[in-house]
Amino acid sequence: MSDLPFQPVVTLAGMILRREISPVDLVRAVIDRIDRYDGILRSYITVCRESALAAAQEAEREIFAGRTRGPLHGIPVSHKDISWTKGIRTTANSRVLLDFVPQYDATHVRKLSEAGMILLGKTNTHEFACGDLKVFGTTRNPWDLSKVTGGSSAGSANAVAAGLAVTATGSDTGGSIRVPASFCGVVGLKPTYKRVSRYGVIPLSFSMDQVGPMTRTVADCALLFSVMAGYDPLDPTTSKFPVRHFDTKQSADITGVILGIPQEHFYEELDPEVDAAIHTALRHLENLGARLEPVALPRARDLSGVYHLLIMVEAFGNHAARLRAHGPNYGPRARRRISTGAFYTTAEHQQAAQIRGLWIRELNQVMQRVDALVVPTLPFPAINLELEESNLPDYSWGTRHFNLSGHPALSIPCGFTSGGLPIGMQLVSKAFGENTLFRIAHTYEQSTDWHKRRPLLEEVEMYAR
Amino acid sequence: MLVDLEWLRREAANQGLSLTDEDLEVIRQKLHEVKTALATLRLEETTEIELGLPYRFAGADATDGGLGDDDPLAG
Repeated sequence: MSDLPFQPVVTLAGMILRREISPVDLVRAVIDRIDRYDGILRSYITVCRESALAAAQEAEREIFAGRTRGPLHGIPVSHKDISWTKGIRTTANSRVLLDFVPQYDATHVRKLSEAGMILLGKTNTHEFACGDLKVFGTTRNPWDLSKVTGGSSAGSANAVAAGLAVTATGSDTGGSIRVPASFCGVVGLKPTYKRVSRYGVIPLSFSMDQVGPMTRTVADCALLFSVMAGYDPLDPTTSKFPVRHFDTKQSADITGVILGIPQEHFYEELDPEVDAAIHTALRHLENLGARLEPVALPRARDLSGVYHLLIMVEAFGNHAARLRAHGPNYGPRARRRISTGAFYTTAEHQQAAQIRGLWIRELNQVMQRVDALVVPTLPFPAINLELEESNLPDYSWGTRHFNLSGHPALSIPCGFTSGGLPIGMQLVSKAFGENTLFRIAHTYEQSTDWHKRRPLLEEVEMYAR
Repeated sequence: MLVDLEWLRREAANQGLSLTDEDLEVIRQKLHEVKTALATLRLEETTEIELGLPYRFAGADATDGGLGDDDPLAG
């Protein structure tokens, strides 16, 4: 099969400009892989075969006529199925929305389309970004089919990892980009709150939701982010703070960068292989010129209940009318989790908001002294599928903190277990400091080869037989 | 348990929610866990944190004058 779907966007864009390949070749190559592997991996809810090929032909005509729109022109992108796509059903993996066809595109979908990207399909997600994967089948981890992908941007992560997508987008309310990125060995960015428009994205929690890219390399992530980010009059929470492009050529140096290492929570009770991988990565960052500085974040341990209360109160606010009308059509996990938000008191909500404020203050004080924090994305590698069914683990263990605070956070691969499962490292910077994350992550990535590994899909083929 | 199943049943009905007893039992356990955790986190003194603060958290832009545009590596 073609190797094209695994190539970085920057490489593919150069090949297209030099007419070594056309966007049609690229889209066909990805669709071939979808046809071969999606029956097992369940990356997609909807594949836009015909419209993607038609868009690729149009892109080919434009580019070959010299009317290129930039490096994303002719490159396929797949969007999580909670992002509205004009004329293409958007289900949120729920029986409640099985026949819902939006009349317009979400802002990030529109922006990437205007940059010339080709909508390849809608990726699988946990129901309403917080429930089950029942309606369209369970996503599987391409590194080991018996393991979870994590979620809720599950299909975006496993599609990028397995070459069933070149690039993808996801949403992240407590880790839903970074957790599956870590489990599947790809790059995933939760941007700063306010940085990317949520217009046209089915909401879970208005104060924590963010939309971001999921890619195979940091440079690709930065490229998509630079298009997705920015003020949107249709989303009044977005910032007018200018978006600055990240230049990989001028940024591969982290000499003198100060990296904060939290002394509480984030390095406690780690799986031994995660512990070894993250400490090896820290030594590597030191060797690249970064300085490690221990920092105190004692409130980091206290945020599980605070996070759960705030997210579910907001989620219930969003879903209340629909739950009343269609509650039995929700899957049990989404129905129960969201309904929990109906039963907290106002006093408890205000207490949670106060603790959130104190956490933000504590974190901001630390961020004044460092350029970024480095922590494991998760304390354990991907778990068995059956375990997730019986007892949902604490997936947001290392990620919810930065949804509560709004800071940008990036997960990149930093190793593999002896069983071949990816391990993720999370970098967190000051508000609107995405380029800091890209600089550190790109420098690390270019001096390691984790991002070059690919899952062996013979197991998928055997499974299919 | 901090939350009584019968109270949950009545409150769900009052809010117009169609939840089964199995749903309510799962919800009750989660409410107990979160409410218990919050009870251990009560603040010991009055804080000057105003209630609006959590929602102005990442305001590094010129429009709301928050933190953050001092990133030496950005750009």
